[in-house]
Amino acid sequence: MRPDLVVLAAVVALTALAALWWRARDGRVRPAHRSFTQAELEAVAAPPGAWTLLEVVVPRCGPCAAARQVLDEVAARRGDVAVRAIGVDEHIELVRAHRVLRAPTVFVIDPAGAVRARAAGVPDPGELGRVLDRSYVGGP
Amino acid sequence: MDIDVRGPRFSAAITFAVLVAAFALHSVWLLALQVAVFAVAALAGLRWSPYGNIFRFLKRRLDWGPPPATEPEAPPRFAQLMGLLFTGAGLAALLGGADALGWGLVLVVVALSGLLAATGLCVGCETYTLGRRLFGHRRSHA
Repeated sequence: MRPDLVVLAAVVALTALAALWWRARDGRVRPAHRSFTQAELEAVAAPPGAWTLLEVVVPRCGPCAAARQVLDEVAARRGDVAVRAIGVDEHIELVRAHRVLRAPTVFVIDPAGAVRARAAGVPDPGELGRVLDRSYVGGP
Repeated sequence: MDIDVRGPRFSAAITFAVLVAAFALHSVWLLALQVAVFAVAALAGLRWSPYGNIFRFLKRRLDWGPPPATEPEAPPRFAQLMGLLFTGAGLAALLGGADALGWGLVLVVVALSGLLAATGLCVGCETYTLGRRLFGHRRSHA
């Protein structure tokens, strides 16, 4: 077999693996343990005493709009969940402090300012709903 | 202008197939064809993209329905420009006799177009935040 075809096959196989890895991870809602400071909560206009779904967005980002739609739908099913969006440019310190790598990134913030979960990519609505449900049952 | 998100994925799939064929057949002509396609899409706009037009034709004829989502044109057009730069440099290297370099650059685009076709990832969205974190300062608001 021609050696260059082996190289081609290896590149295609690695690409397929990377794609599978990406699809498995994109939009998954994962637990998080880092809290927002009072100043950060005020900077993103999180309402005191309520849950906040905070989305970090960048300009000209199609998936950011799709994520916003998911957040609005999840929030609409509950009365006390606020949805907020902040731009990477305007909140670069927060983006650095919370190690945001991609847009959209979504934080689920409880009334005490603790981040209960986060997701990179368009979040899975079912997982997002379950995070909120469990949190409601257990209380903040 | 907003475009159907399926368009860039469809175009990436054709790009992937054309470049795999060019590599396997050692066809500089196929590579040159892909460079020309990238050039039209990047420089004239996605409205003129040959693969984009195939997508729109098939969409109408096969009744693929309305877009599941739309996205701005700029990021995928930028991705076409990146494709043009890599494959253009690869073509230049091949014409200059640097075969390994030329086909190596082609393989980079094979991997990226394959990833784009399989995941629909938004290149602009993925790179913007990292770029700002590495190089950005707080932008002043006039």
